[in-house]
Amino acid sequence: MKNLLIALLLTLFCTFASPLFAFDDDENTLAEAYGDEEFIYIATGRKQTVSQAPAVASIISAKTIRQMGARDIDEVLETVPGLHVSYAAGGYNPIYQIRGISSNVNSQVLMLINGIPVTNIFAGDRSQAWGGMPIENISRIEVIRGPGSAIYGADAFAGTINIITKNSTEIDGLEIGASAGSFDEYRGWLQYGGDISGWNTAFSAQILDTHGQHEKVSSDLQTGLDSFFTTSASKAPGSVNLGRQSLDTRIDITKDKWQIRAGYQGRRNVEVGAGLFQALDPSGEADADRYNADVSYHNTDFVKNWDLKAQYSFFNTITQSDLVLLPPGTNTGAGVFANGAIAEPDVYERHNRIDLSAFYTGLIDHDIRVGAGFHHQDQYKIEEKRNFNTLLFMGAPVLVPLGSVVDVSDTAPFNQEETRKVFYGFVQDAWDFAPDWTLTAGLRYDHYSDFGSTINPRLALVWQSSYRLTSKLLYGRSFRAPSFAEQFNINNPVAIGNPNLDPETIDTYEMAFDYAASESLKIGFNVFYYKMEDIIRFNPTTANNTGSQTGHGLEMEVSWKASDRLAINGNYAYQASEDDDSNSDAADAPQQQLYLRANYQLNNVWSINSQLNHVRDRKRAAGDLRPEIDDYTVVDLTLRAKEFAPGFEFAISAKNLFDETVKEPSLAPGLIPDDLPQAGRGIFVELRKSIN
Amino acid sequence: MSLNIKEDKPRFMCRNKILKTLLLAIVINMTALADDVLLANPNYNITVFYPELRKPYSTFFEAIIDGIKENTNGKVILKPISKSMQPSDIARSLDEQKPDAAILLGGGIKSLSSNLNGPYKLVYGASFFSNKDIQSGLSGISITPDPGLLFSELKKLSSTIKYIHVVYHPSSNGWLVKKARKNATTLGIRLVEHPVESTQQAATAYLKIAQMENHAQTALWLLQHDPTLDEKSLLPKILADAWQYEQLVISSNPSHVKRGALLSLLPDNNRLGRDLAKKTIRILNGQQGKIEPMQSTLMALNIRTAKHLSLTITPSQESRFTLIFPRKNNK
Repeated sequence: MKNLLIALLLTLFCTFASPLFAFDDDENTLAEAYGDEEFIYIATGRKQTVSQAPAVASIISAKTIRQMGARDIDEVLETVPGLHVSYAAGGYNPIYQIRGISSNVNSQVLMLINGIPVTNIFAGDRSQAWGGMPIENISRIEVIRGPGSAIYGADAFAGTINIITKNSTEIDGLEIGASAGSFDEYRGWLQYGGDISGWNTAFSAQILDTHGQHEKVSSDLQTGLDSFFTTSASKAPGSVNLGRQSLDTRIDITKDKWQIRAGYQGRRNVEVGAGLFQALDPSGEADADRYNADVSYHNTDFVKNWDLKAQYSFFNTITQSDLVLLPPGTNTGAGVFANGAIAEPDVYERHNRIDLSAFYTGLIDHDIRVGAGFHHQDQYKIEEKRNFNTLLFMGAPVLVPLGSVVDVSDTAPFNQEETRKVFYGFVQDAWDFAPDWTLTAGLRYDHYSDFGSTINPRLALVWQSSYRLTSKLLYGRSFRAPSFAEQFNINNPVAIGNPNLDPETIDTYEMAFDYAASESLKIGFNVFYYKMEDIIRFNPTTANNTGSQTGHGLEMEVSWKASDRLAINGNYAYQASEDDDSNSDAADAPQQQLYLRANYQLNNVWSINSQLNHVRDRKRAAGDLRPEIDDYTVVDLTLRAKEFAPGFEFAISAKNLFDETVKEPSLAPGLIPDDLPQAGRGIFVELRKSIN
Repeated sequence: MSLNIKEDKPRFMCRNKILKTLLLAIVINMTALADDVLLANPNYNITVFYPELRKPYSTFFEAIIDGIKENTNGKVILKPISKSMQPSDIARSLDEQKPDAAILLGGGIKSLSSNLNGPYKLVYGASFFSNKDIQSGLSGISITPDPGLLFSELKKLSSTIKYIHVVYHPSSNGWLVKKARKNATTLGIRLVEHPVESTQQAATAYLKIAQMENHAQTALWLLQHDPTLDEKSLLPKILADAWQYEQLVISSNPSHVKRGALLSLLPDNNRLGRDLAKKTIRILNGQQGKIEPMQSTLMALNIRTAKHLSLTITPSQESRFTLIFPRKNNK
């Protein structure tokens, strides 16, 4: 509470600080001729593409991302109303909890990069060694809360996160930059945007080397085993392990109707957080290699009234892990592991997609969109070495030592080499059936080679209620396809795959209002209700469609340009979600979130950005007897100097300025009893230079 | 006799027509020829002064400068103007460079250049101009779009429009309204002028216009850089009333389209640069200079407003607009 007060005082200080400058005459002339700075960006060719259907959506621009001093997309996504970024114990992989929907692998959220999914079919997540995603090459992030399967297909379930990378017009010549800060974190980047032999070319390379935050965990799963078997193997109390190195490169070339993009995300020595088995593992590491490429042809006038887009895309993702699931000296009851319980699982998969979509604009008052496509998912190699077998003893898994690390790839691997084919087709019509009224109706059919067909509709009624108010009534159905882990897991008695699974489904109803109180004050408000069915759980040990969950809530956003120099943004979200089996809270996700951000332009060079994020009311799952997870308030501050010398920009950021204790929930019932600690205060500096 | 007369008249008309066509052809060819000669002339050295601004404002001037370079074959020297620059710095720079002409871009440079008096010609661009500027004999292209272009686009969207109301401050925008009057007449529209001296008077005038009957035949034209049009308090009221009374609003300020006006024009910066270069060379070749509204423009449309007004925008019409508001995800 004290921190909240300080942050508010800080914001007030910003508000009343004396004006130090007035815009130049020329900026005034242009601002007057064009409106605000945002309009100038649009009018000078940095156009945004449009979303595909009316939805409750947030768009975060590169400018906002930079203002808030973010280093990774997770910091950006945390600012979206109704979205909270939690973390799983294994690798601290992000869990994007949207509107109370949360799971350890987070397969209910679809992440796209330039409209193409980065989902890994093995677990339905974005890789077991995700390793974060840097933000320098991001043009904007579009987040749709609510259903998106009628357009995007599988997994656009709780929400869809679409990351759009920068094109050549958004990178001005050559830009280089570096940052360094707490946790021995070093970043560097180089970007180029320009014309090469008639091709508009954008190139980006970003590197990172960090030791990661090292907050302490007081006890873990091994602590429990130690007390039972009177061993002292646990690494707890000890710090979580979050070191990693990463390289992200992308190239984007366009000419006339053609666009070719390719990218590589490499992750090395990604440490395992609080351990895949919730036992600290200082020596475990994973590597990931993710390659993507796509070729698009877009003809706005293919034949009369038809706008056609055709795309082929390729995505190859490899995750290789060397894990010590339980530390050296552990006794599992079936024997002592002198070198620890070692597992080296590797997953190789490739995805090929062909997508066709077309707009038909030949009918007055109708915008018709049709599309079809094919997606081939191929988990082409599964490899595993380990020094144990798993048995079930009185309902609990027991690791039995094999004596040494054995290659079980061909004998008893954890999963299988499998493929899946998906065909789909969709149609959508936005019909202006009366002045100020538009009805959008869409339907998508997906046929999966394993579980069969699914049809997902979308309806949106939009009413331009007045000059200031737009009202929307929305309904959508979405599905999540079972992952290969859920379908084909073998040789793991506590998590056995089930090839007969159906997809999870969700029906969502939303009512949304956008109100422009004035040009400088905009308010968004929505209420929602959803019902999830056929939730896939390993219950008790085999994957089954067993659960259902219902939820409702509201989200509110305010954007206020208080003066030429001060912009304030804020949002508040409330949700209550219930697990229908236990009639208890769906757990882990915050019931309430509050976010406030003030950006203040001190003068032509200096600006200050302060933000406050308050997360509260995170309940435990049924059967987890621990008290509620503590609420927290985190304040960040960024001071930025632009053009203090020609082409130079400098920033210094304090993250978690007041060193608030922040925890994310560990899995029920609490093998890591005091949850997963998050970063304390961190200071980061950055310097960038653009060379035109 | 009568037959002869009858035969002669058509023959005369015919000859007259041929003559006219020939004359027209010669004039057109001469202009084209003259322009070619002008543009091919390698001897003119031109210095371009432009304000040193941060992004995104700087991109605006970069595009204009590119356009100027594309349409000049002589030497183009670029001189950025920093905030600390004094009028004497510009004069000194021009004395050193000795260019044939200087193109002065931006609003700020106008005050810096008021006492320049050299053998070079001065051409102004990317700035607003008042009646006083026009009377003082400046040459250049205003950042304000030509009202004739705006009205003609309006006619294409709504052919029933017979009256256009404009509320304006005479000493700021009198010159533009005078020009607009002629443009409107050519299109069969009557410009209904409401000269006002204060924001208060303007507010009264706007309310009266909004409450008039028969909006099917009238439109309201909003101006850029008019001291009586308060963007923060008055404009939202004008646009809210327009929505309520289904009044069609066009504007010389493209940002008004984002806020709810139906139609506006924005600069095509590259073409604007080429126009400035052409104008400069013509002046150097002896043509008289004056301030003209901008001709090279792109179009902006508010589709939400269009639908509210029950205007039918065909796909081919829609494709002519560079900017369409609101963004479709807000639709």
